[in-house]
Amino acid sequence: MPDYNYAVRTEGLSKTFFTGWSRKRVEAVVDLDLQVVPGEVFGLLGPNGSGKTTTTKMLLGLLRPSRGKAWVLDRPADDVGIKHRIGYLPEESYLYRFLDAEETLDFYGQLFGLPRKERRRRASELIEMVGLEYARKRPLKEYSKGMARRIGLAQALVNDPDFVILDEPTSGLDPIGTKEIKDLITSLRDQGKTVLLCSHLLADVRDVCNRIAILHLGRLKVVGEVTKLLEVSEITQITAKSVNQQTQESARRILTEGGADVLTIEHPTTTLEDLFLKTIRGAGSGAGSSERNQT
Amino acid sequence: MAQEVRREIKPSSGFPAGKALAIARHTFREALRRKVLFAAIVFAVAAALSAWFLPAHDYSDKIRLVASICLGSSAFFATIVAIVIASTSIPKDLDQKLVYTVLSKPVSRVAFLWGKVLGYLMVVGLILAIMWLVSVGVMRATVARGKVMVTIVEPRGPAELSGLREGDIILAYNGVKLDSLAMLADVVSGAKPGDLVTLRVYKDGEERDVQLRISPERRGAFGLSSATLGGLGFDAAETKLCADKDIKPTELVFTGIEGRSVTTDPDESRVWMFDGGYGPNSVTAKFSNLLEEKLPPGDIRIAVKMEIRTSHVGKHVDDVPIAVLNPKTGKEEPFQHRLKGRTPSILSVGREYLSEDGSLQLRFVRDEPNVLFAVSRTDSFRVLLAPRSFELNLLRSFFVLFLQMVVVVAVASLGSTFLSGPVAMFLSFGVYICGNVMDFVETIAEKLKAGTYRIPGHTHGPVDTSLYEKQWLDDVASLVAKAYTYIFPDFRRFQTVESLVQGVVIPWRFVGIALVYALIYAVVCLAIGTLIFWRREVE
Repeated sequence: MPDYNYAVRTEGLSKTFFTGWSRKRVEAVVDLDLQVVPGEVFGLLGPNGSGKTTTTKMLLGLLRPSRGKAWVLDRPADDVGIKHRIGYLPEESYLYRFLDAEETLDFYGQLFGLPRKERRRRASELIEMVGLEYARKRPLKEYSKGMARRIGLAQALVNDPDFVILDEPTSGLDPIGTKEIKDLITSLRDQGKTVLLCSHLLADVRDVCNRIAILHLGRLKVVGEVTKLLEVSEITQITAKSVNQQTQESARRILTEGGADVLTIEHPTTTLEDLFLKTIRGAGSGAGSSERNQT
Repeated sequence: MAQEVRREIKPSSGFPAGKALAIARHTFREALRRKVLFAAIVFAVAAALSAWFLPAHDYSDKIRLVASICLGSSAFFATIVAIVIASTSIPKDLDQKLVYTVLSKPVSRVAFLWGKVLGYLMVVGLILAIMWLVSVGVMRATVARGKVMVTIVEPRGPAELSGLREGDIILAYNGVKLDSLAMLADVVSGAKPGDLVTLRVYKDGEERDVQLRISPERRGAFGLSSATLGGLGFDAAETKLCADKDIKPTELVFTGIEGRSVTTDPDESRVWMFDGGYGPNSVTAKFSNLLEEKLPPGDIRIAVKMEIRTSHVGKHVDDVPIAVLNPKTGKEEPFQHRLKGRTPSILSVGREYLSEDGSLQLRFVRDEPNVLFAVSRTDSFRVLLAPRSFELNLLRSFFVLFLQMVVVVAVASLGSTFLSGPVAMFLSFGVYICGNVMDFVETIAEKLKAGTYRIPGHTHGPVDTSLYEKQWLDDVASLVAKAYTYIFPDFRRFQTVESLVQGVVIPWRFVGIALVYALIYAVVCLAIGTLIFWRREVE
């Protein structure tokens, strides 16, 4: 049973950047109210520049909110002590290139104050878990992007965190790697950990998330359970294999006779993608892009 | 329910030293794996080694040259490495977003910054440690040329006439290679007065033979034993490298005829014993700080240097009687030998004349009317000590240099908390230069305050009084100059090269002041840096 009520709770969280000499305002996050409950895998979706990373940085105390508040594991986000229980994988693997895999994990273990023995044990466990045994003594500057991603993930888990923030965990990974990461996220959830997943790769999110939120231009557009959000109750989609033209025609006839209004019969698209695009486009025609670069 | 079970969350302690140490070790390791550090070390070592090949006028010149080049190249390269690393490390971590993975861990900004600083200091400490070892090696190699060096040459004595000078190295005596100072003393004591001996001498960059006659009047007996080589004083060559080699008298007492007290001008550096009337007639050198543990075993060796003159009329006398106070009887006992006119000389005084509280008293009296002699207040009398190891003096010098690096690193780190790497680097070099021109600025401040830069007191013609009214401008400028001396680090507090090349032991007091100054300056810089970095956002 987790000992916290919310893994993440934000109230009116906002961040405005002032860039350049002209102090141009850029509103990266606007009035974000978000709750992530214990034990769930929460997906934070949004196109590039929608404020996902800014939000996670505020949750980690790397940035200070311009307005509003954020709590992580029921503690203020800038509390250094709470980070003992958080794991974080940044959007790119920002790691010290001169260290090898073991040294990397050992260094991050030291930052958690883990004793030497524990650090060594964790390091070999994690290296095995992310499948980098063959490269454990190679400096990270020789790593490919996918390998760097894996060691980045390992460092995020070095403290056996209760709450894991993963920013684009599958970027740069091949399909097999992507599948492994998704399996890993599922297993983290099964261990009772809470996961916050930031991504724009919709297929990944759909497969592993319980709930999602879609951010656009810093504003929360949609939040809810994946299954409910994607369920369109008045439309029924039939998926079948090896359907020839004749069968399609007879199916259409049967449906029409039953009083159904057949819209299309076609190959299915990824439904989350639909939702995503619909959300973004809807926002874009409304309050969207004109707000972004207010001065 | 969820809120019922609460696991203890480790509170963030005030100063998490363990994590700062982890950051420090990490910074150190990062620096070690960058080639630039090795380039700096290689260049510094090469510079120190090159000193050995430089031509020098004489031996003691060479030792000084080697000492100053070793220290100078160490300071130069350590400063460059300190500024480059401390200015660029944090900006680089921010630029490459490496801080994301570090500061998202339970590492406070304080621990991060101070850990970094500790790491830079470890790097600088490593460079200085290597440079110290190299310097010791180079200086030893220079000294290894000869173990015995001429330290005193009696004016107009046989040694001087043979061309021997202070700083020459005695390599061999009658073909016997000299390995130590004691060996020379041994062979000299075996010689008879009037013997002609051949010394193999290293001077002006080459070896040559010098012939000397053992002076008959100086053999054996009391005093002057080490001057037996024809007015030659010698010492272990290492003495030149290290200082604290003598103890000066705590007091010089001048008395007139029949013990009448006289007053002498304290500003006068030389005092003449010249007259039976009102002036001083004798001088007593009182040492009160000759602690047993400081003195080398055997007789107490005292170097005496004074100017003795004789009038051309009457009996030709150019020596002065010497009396030493026996602490047991409380009475003065005369030396069998008088201090010959051709000083400097080294007197050997038996250990029994040293009182239990470490005091020794010698008196030199003018007893002939046609003799007069002058005593220097500063360097006429010196009790010689065993040469101290120059390595330790060099170590003090390097420690002070390290303290200077602490200040440099603190300034550069402060810059790196809010500036980009190159800008922080320029700032640090700027501060470094500003801190090295303190003398100049202080002079300006004083002159401005005194109004020296304004028109000096004109008395002829009309005086433009408006210039005088602008005294406040000078005052403001003087205040600015004064503020400058407080704001920028005063690197004069870390200058040891003079002491080092003079062979003077760097006093602990100097080291202590440098330590306190460096700590205060660095802590203030880092406190400001911590405040800035604490507020800084990681974008």
